[in-house]
Amino acid sequence: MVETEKTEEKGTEQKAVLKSTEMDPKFKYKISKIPGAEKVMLCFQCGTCTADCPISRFDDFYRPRKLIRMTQLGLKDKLLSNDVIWLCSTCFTCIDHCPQDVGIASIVRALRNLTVERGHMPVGYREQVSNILKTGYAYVISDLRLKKRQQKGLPALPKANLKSVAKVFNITGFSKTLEKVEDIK
Amino acid sequence: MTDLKYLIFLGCAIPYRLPSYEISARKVLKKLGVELVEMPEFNCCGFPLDPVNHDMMLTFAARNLCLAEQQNLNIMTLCNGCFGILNHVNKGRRCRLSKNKDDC
Repeated sequence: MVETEKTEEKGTEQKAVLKSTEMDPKFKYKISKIPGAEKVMLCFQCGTCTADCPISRFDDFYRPRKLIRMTQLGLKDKLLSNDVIWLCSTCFTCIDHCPQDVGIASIVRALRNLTVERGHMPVGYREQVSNILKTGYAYVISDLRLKKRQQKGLPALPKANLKSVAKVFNITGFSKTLEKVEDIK
Repeated sequence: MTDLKYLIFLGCAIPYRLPSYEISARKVLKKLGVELVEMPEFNCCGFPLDPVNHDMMLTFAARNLCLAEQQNLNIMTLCNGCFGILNHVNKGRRCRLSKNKDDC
């Protein structure tokens, strides 16, 4: 199978041969068991998602159509070591416009989940996760802001039960994953 | 006028970045006769955790929904990210409980 891939120089296309040994035929079944990503096999590569995607308008490498095709082919290693999947902003335009009702954004989310399970996570997400563990919220809200809230006459901010937050981390097994993940970039 | 009573769910972004939005919302809702109840135990809705671990997102959102159900009140949220996640999880729960597939 021959696939054209854009090299880092803009505009030039290079032909790369995909080896069948790189493909994992069971990968699509693994993905289709994840909630939201069941319809991955229904994609017929019309390209509506890519035409509407606000990210692919500005990025030369992020193409939702290509990601779905790669999932169908089972190019597991290529997908899960790819920084491109973290570009999706989850605006769900692709899902709204897809004629086959393939949950593209959910498939990208499934791919991200698998990447984290493999042990790679962007710095921003790690920061948010550690903030949630510390305070129960994704951002650390400083004392200055709390003081300002009081001045404006707003009621005190709800304080999350940190014990139950930690419990959720343990139950879902994410605290174990968090220990071994490495940062991307 | 029927008495409207909601639990207010602020989420993370509004107290951090948009306190003006909260102030104006509270003032408008007061004039409209909507009573907002504070819920001290709410945590993050789970939206930032979705790309990292889907199960954890579901549990976080479900925890918030359960807290609201204990109070027997509906949630009002000002943040559309929180709304999306809480609505999604609540719908999924209803979907699993009912045998009628049209509910999904």
